[in-house]
Amino acid sequence: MLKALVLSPLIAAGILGIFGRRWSERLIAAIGCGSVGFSMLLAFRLFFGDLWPRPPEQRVIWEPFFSWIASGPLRVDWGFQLDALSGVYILFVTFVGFWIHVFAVGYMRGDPGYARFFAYMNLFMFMMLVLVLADNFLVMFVGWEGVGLCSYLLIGHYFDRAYAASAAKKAFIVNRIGDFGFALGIILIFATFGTLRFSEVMGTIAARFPEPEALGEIGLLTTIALLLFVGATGKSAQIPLYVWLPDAMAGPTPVSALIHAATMVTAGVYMVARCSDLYARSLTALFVIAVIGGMTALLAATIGLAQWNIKKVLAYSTISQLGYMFLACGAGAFSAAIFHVVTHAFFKALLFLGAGSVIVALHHEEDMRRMGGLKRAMPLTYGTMLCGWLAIAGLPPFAGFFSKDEILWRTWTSPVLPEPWGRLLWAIGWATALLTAAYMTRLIVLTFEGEERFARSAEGHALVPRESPPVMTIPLLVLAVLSVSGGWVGISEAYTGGRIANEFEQFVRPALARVPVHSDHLAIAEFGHGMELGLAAVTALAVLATLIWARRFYRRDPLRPAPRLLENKYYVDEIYEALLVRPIVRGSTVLLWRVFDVAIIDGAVNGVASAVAAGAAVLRRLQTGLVRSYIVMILIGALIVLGYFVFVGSQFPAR
Amino acid sequence: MESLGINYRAIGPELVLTVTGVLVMLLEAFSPGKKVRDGILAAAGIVLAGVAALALWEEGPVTAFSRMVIVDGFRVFFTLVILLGTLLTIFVSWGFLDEERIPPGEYFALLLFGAVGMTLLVAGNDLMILFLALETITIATYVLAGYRREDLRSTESALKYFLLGAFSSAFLLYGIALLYGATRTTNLAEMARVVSGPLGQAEIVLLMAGAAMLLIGFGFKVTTVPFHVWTPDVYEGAPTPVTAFLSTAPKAAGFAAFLRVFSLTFPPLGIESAADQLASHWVAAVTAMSILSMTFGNFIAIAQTNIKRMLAYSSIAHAGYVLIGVLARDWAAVAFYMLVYTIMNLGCFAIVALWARRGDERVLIAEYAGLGFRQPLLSFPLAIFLVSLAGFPGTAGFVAKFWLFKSAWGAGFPELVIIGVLMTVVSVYYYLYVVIVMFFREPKEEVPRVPLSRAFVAAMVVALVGVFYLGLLPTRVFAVLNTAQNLLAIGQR
Amino acid sequence: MTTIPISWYLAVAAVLFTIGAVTVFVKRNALVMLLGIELMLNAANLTAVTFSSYFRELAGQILVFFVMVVAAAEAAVGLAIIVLLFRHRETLNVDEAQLLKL
Repeated sequence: MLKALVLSPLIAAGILGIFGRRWSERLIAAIGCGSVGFSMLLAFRLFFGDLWPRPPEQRVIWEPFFSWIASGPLRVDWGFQLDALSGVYILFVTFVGFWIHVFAVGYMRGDPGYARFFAYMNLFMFMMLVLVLADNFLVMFVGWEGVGLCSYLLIGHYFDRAYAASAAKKAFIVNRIGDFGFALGIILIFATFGTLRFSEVMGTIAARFPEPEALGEIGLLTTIALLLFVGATGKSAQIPLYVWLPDAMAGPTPVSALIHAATMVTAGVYMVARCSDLYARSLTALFVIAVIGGMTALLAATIGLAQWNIKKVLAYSTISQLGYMFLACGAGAFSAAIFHVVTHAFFKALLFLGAGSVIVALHHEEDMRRMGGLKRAMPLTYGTMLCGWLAIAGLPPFAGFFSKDEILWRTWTSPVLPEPWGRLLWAIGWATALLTAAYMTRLIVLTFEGEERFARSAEGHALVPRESPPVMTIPLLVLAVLSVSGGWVGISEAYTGGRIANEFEQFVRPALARVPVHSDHLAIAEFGHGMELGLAAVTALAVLATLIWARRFYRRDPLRPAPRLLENKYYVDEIYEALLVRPIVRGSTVLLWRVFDVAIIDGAVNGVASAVAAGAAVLRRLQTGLVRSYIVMILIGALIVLGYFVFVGSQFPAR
Repeated sequence: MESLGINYRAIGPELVLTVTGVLVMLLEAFSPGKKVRDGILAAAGIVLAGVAALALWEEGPVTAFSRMVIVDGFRVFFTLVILLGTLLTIFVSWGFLDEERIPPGEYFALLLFGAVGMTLLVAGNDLMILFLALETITIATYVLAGYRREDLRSTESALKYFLLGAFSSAFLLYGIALLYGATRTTNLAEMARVVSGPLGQAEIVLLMAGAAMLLIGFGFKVTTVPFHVWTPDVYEGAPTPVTAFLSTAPKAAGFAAFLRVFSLTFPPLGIESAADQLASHWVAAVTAMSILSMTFGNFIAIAQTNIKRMLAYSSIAHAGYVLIGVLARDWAAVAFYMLVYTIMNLGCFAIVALWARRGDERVLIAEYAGLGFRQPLLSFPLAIFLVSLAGFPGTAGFVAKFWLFKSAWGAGFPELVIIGVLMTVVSVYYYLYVVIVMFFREPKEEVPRVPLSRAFVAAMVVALVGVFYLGLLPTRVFAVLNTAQNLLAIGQR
Repeated sequence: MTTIPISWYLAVAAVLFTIGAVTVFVKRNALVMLLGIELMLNAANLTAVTFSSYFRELAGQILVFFVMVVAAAEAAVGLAIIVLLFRHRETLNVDEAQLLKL
């Protein structure tokens, strides 16, 4: 059944790619959504029918496909593995994916690349499922690169727009930098463990490395963990590789919702959770992840406060929320990270689709300065967006509250972070929560409230925004319901005084590692439920205050200018361009190619030739000639090799 | 006295190719210009040679002709790679022969003679055979490079190739003479035996100088920095189908000989011996050559505007990767890499050749603008081949690179692996650039539709199936290579 | 009767090889460059023959036969290319062959 689940979108992608161009939009939509819907049904059946009833320790379904690489000690199979972790993932990936596909039916109406769009979206679903269900690193890498490729193809969907092409390229190349680390990590894992199967690597790690590597110790496990994390920073848009995600908004909005918010960008978090046994044995890696996550959360939130493009605000918000997830991983609370992945998928997909609904209504206007007052024309979109707004801000009882609060609490009490970093990172997370409330309020106010600013900017004809058709609003409603209630599956036991355990955590815990406890650290239980509730209440009240204040603040003057530094995203793109991109490209053109291949050789030919042919008459007539430059080049190389062999190599070894 | 070991089956593939070549040439002389007939005959000869090579698989590791020729899995596999490359080249050349009004018989005969040299290079167990085979390859390819006689670029390419090739051959030959002086033999098995013990000071000097000269010669043939200088010019100037040929089959043969001479004859033995002393130095030199090839090849490729030149630098970079495999002394990884590289590179060049039209007019990357959705049967395969060259998982390029790097890491070359992986990341930049131009750039003028010949479609199908088969289901090929690897150790002694 | 030591032969061969190599990169005339290459090949031949007679073994001599044949074939092809270039350019100067660069 796993195979059918994974292959269904691939088959649909193939059919649409080959025949789709001649078909009607209705048929394409039916196939595109149908295949994902089918996968969703299978996922539900597998999860609730097969996985859930089993006792916790036996919740692993393994389906080998066929052998892929078998060479000497290396054996890699195409195999899929469904356990608690991947079970949760396929559930929300197919569910959110399906509703986004449905939304796209309406959003992409009339697009000349309709079939192409759905073919790539289905291909993406396939790759994502491969990534999640892989039972070894190499198959995961296929999915990992595959989702990147699909993201590249979909960002560049509007290929006639130059910025879409450059955004696609940027996304791809930045991701490849991350993959450099990931690939090396995989090779190192094979060299260390002799296998690439997750179950074998994670199963033997405790026996091979009984002691976790201490903070500051860069051992083998830390090296592997950090190399893999480099890959995660690329895919999940963390410092320093987050720069591609905002640009990726050049793609159609359903793509942003599916790939750049709900699913693909959380692959890094998934990978860390999948390798939690590895990460739990390297305190250095955990610390690095926590700090990077916290920093990214804060940095992206401040930038989000100053953007005018509605999708860019949401993009920075995504980066910031991903930072939260890594913060949780770094604190050793892998289940909290996954919980936030799920709730975030609901409310962020909702927010993006809501933004898409607005964008369509305004004829592809994305600048919030030319929006405003839309709540009258688009009540459904407005209402559902409000749910997303309160969910991401983290107001109880919306979904975001429970997951975010879990992360903050686990950071405060983290057994792996050194003193006083747990509390410091908690403070960063807390500040980010308030910033989140502020920038999301700004987005809602600028888009839906106040006066209508779009009529003024429309070229010629007046714009009359209308509510989107049901095919687009129904997904909004579904996701809105989940944005409200999605968090209730993981309510911390503190709220019931310990009577009802955290269901979500109970479920995924067997698939995740438990982190070792610092000797000088208090166990979580000793903090008590009272403190957890107290901190949660403080956070919730502060968020509420921020929401009220921000609403009044932005209603007074929606278009107040933002700080330059923030609006220009701390000039990070410019810095990267100046420090990295330009030197490399210029270096290849000028230094290596012109200077090395031409000037040096030409110089050498002149120099050497003039030394050999000393006659003045010859010298004058000497010209640079390419053939002879090459010969000199070969000759110089030959002399070096020969000299090295004869003069260095012929010495008898010292006895 | 040892027997002469005359065994015609042992040179079956070479015999078949030679006879076919001569036959095609004679037919051309008596009734010229019959492309289909000559092409089918040449292709049939190649297939037959492949069958003859497969028949050798069962022979096991033996030598023949006074130990001049060796029969083992290593040879069979490389022979098949070369034959595949030659066969695909025939397909790729199909349209080009009509456009340029080239006598097809001559052209096919030269390809076949080149292939004879290559298969012989793989089979040679004696430096004399290696030299003879190398010269057979180069003489045939000098002519092929200059095949578009009225085009100055082609002639110039041939001249450069000839002068530099002959120059490097002289080094190679001098190296052979010196090695002969050092070990009193030109036979590789015998030589391996001699150098496994200690040698006198004078012999050591001769051995070192000879090995260095040989390294220079081979470095030239497999296009490694700093002996790569001829590559971009020759690849750019030669007719595109010929470039496709030059960049694949002869390189596979060159690497086979490289392995045979350096990795197998002068291995690091770990005991005090001449071979060990030499090995520590050739390893150092080849390490440097590998790093230089990977870095220069990849970085300079970024700056190219001509797709043939870009692929030439990419070819240099790939030679750098393969050298890692030579250093790791994992010939199976090298063989698999060359198989994959042959398929994907020929696939690329097939499209480049088709798009270039008569006289190689359209070879700038900018001229690929708008190809994307206007002619998807050209653009999608090209994108797939480029992505495979970049080592994207799911394609053959990934499996080949992964095996190579994994093997090198295990053999104790982690620094080379790190550089290799890093350079793979760099390479994405220029491979992807072509894809972006194809799909995301608007053309300046109307893009004409290029008609696809049946031979081209055949080449595409073979290459695409190869890229995905070897990318997704390479187990069977791996098993074959592993078997061959086990047979090799006996064959060399 | 005193025999000439083997190192003298080898030295001559090495000098010949060097002269050949230098000729190739100092001269601009393609024909003279070809001559230089021939000189290098013959230096290698001389070395092989020297060792062959010194070892009283025939492999070196056989190698020389092969090389002579190959060199003749190579020269034929080379001359054909040079003639072709001359037809286009009316010059044998290789420095003018720089259509292909960068």
